[in-house]
Amino acid sequence: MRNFKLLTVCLIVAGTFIGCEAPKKADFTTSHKIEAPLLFNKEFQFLGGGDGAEVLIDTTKSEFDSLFTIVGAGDDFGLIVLSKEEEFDFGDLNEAIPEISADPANFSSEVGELEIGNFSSGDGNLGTASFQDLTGLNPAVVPAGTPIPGGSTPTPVNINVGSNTDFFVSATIKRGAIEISVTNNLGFDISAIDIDLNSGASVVGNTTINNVNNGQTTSDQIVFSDGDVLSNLNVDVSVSWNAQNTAATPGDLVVENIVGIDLVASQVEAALEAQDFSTSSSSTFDSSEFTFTDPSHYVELESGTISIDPIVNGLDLTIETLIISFPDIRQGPNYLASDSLVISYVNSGGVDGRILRSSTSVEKVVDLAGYRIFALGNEVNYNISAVTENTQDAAPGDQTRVINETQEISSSVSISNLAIKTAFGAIASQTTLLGDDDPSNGVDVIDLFNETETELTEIDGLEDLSGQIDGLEFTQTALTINYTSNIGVPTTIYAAMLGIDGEGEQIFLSGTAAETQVEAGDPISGILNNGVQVTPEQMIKFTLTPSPDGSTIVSSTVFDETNSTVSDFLNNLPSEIRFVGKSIVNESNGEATISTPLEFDPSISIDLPLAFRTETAATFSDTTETSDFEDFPKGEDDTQIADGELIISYENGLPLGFDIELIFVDSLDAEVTSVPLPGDDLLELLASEVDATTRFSSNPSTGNLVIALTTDQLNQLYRTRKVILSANLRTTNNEEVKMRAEDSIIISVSAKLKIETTVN
Amino acid sequence: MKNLKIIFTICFCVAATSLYAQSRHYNSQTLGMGGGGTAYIDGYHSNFLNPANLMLKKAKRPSTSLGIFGGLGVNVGGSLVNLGVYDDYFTKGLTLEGQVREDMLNDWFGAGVNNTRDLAVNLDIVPLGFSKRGRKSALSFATRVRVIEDFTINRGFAELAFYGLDSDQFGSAVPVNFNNTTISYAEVSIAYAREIPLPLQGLVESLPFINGVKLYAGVAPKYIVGVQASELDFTSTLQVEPVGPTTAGGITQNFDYSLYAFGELSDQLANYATARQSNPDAKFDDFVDYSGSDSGTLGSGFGMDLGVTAEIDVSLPVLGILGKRQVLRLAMSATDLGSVKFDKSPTRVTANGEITFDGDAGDDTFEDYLDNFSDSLQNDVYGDFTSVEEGARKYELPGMYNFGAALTLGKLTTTLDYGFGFNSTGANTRRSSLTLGTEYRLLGFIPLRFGTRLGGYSSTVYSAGFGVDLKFIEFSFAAQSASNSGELGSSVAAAWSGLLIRF
Repeated sequence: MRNFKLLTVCLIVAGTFIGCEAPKKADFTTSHKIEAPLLFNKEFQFLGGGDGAEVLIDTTKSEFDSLFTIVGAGDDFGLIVLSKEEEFDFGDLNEAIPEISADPANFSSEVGELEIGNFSSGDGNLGTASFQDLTGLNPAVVPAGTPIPGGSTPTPVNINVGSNTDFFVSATIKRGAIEISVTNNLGFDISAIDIDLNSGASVVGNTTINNVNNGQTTSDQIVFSDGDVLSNLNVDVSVSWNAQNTAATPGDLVVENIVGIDLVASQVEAALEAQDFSTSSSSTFDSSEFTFTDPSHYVELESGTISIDPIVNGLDLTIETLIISFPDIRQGPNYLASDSLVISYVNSGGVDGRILRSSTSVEKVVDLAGYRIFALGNEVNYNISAVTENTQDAAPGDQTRVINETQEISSSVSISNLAIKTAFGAIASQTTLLGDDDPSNGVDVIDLFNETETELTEIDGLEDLSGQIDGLEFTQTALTINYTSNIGVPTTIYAAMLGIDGEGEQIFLSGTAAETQVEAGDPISGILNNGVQVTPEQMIKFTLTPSPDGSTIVSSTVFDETNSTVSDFLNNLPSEIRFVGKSIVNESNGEATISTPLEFDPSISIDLPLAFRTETAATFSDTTETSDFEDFPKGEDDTQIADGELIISYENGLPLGFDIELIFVDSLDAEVTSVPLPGDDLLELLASEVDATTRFSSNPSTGNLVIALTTDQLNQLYRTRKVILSANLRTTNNEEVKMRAEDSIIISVSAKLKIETTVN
Repeated sequence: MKNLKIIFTICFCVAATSLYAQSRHYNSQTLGMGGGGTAYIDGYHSNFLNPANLMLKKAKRPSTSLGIFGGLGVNVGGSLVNLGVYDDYFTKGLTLEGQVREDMLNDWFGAGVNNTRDLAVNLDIVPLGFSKRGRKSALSFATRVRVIEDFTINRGFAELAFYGLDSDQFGSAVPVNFNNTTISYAEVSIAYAREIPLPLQGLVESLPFINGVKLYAGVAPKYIVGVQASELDFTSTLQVEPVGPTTAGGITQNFDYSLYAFGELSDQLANYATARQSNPDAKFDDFVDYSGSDSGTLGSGFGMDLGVTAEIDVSLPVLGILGKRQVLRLAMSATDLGSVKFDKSPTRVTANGEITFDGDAGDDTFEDYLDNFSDSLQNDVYGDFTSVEEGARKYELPGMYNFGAALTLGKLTTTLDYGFGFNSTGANTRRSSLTLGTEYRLLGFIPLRFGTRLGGYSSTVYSAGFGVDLKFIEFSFAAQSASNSGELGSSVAAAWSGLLIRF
């Protein structure tokens, strides 16, 4: 019974559950349709930004900031101009200033022939000869009035005058004479006095003085021959007389004085009077870069020095005064000869500039800034004059010096570190690199791809555009070099300008007119393109407008289709422009004036009006990496997009039409699918009508595009990692059109999707 | 993420939909037997179904019971839960489009676009219960947290879900409506029961097959704490213009909604509405950030459950084979009499307007347009509401009349219950329901229960339960489901006894 009850209960329980409604495993598919407008009459203005309007090119973005300008007046009013100006920082061109330099010039000045004057410091009585010695008579017996017979000195009487010539010790005579003075105090008249001048024991000269009355002083000269040596001077004196009565008490014959008369010695030991001597010399400038061919030519110095090395005084005499004058170096404002540079060594103004005997002076350096050098024949002359001390004024015991005529003073003159502020003369042609020179690739070698040497102009806004658009032909291209310059000398710029577009394509700007075309013989060596010498065809040249007066002027050079390949250059839409160049200053080597600073501040200005045509369809492509499709359903996913349509209605006010193709590619760049599929109608968006005169858009075009995706396409979209938008662009009728900022396109976009979701 | 708060705010009750259903209290015993139990339930659960049953003395059970986390029951059902439609259309690999989709909606909602289907959820939790039975009287204390939620949508709403934004279906304006009501409250119930002396003592025992009769009566007053409540009623029409080369398309929705809110949320909504009057750019998010800190402070009320039970010792010879001890219990009860009143900052928020999505981005970029549109929906469209202070809002408790009979023959018990609701609060319904249930105690401590319910708020349901019911402890489960949802929908329910200790 118990089992029966249990069985009954179990059956009831089982029946209960079996009878209950139990949910089965879900297995169904929902089908949803979504129809929604995404954009309605959304206007996209071609250019603008910052004012709330939707724009195709947002000029407020950093890469477009200041890139576009709008023509404000004239026939092209409203035309968009892509403008870019980049200043080049070349620094000055002072390297084009000629350099001059002079080797140091030694000079020396010998004291030269020595002139001897007074032989003694006192007056009279260098020595005497007594009455008795001269006459042999006893003066005691010959009082005044006493008749004496005629006679002569029996033996010449020697007078050692050298012991009393305190100014003279010895000398080697070159020429001249001495004048010897004697006084007759013998008490009678002398018919003749014979004087032999002895140098020691050697007679070096003699003289006879006739008719010397008692009490009379007279003199006579003894002329020397070159080479006569005077030393230990003494004279032998003898007299002769006629018979007469003595006129006075007998006295002596006195040698009063000895004086040099034009007495010149090559060497002396004496107390010398002041000796003056002088010399002249010159320094020569290098003439490789600048030549003084006319007395009016000069260089005015920005800086520089003239140095007088310490002057070596080889004399036993102090140089009381030394003057070195430079008549070719003159100071302003008048730069006359009287304004010459003079360097003195004197004791003046509390400064003892004398050059002491047998010593050396201090070095003297004079700043030449502001001086002009008139160095005709590229020589700078200078004169040296010196005056020695008068040793006769020296203290006793220090008066006598031994001097040789060959003794000298010596030094050297250095004119150095000359930097020219202004030069007027025959300036040699100067070549100057524009910008820095990186020695790593060679000195005076500049390379477009050396980042130190090249001037790089980046046009950020064109980087993407140039990589994306191909085939647009801009019709009003121009590239302008604006510059300020104070160069008054004819100057030519030789430049290599390389434009590189977003895809790396390189195009040089070349001159096509006489004034811009670079010839094979032009000085373009050392300008490289990635290590390879550029060819003349890859270069362009232009000349600078000379400054009439050395003041800074503003000027420009325009490269357009008449003188250059600027159309090809800019139609390549370069996102960067590389510039290297050199300036050739005074290429004719003629007379010119040139001054520092030599200013040349250029900037490159690109004006690319958005006036263009498409002879054949221009292509535009843009690749966008995206992960937006990762969430799209896979074929095996529960959720599928069965159908998808994007309907685009447009009102195109741009004078540019498009054929659009979208290519979806996976991570391996393999195509997933494309819209439209091959063979399907193109997605074509027509260009607006264009005014025949202004070439601006005049009437928008309207139309619809339907982008339809099949289930198979939609099921593959999840693999998409990149979307390539490829468009063929056509200007209206393939003719020139011009773009305005306010040109716009109005778009309405609607989506229609069918989504199926399977649950099982 | 941005929309989460508004979705939460407008439909926060939907977020709470996981809680609520049938209004009659049940536990794992009674649910397993079909959801009746008026004459069978005992212990502290009696507080909520028939307090008189506190006096019941079943078999050898001790007189005291304690429930810690003393019961959990959840019931989900309603016409929206249509397992028949589900099985017919959602389990056979069909693609729900074209005529199949139309048939599915017809079977589910009927042909009328304004037809509605609802989903009711009832969650009962008895955190704590204690009962003590004496010889002549019994006392019980029990708490119950009850969450009642009702969610209704119309066919247009379902069409939006299954068609999408399809101009073929929504080419002309189609009503798309839904509403949602959530009430949650906590009850603290104290019940008292006692045996009622029969006036004709001895007379009854003289009747055939009756050995004795005891009559019990009980009453359980309860204090009710309002936890949270809201009512959202959203009506709209939706129209989708077709998309094509000559038509850009467009989506238009005219809407009108009202939302009752209380407490913190009410204040926040009112502040936002006030701020918008002076500052149209005021952001919803800046004002509405409901923390839930006001739960339990929003309202209060009183209620009562009462009942009588007659316990008859019978001797039915024909049933003697099923057990020597034969007890028949007859009971009546009225439950959930009373109401709860939410009176803290009651506010009614209303808004109406038109939403047009036409792709006209104006000066905005497309991305900004979408972002702004989303913001605009939150702040300028749905959020552009008017806040009006309301009086306290009173919700009747889902009161029911219950009659039950239970015949125990040894290890076998059969029950029969009849009931109807006094109102339509939540899942309550005035439709009568009849419940039949059986319990067989295998080996005396393994109860196997089954039952069925006919009528009420759903189609016929069947239930079953089992567990371990020892003298001192019970641990049992029960589940219920419909056999055929049909037009009245399905119902699924589950209950757990919690940890019930007797001593």
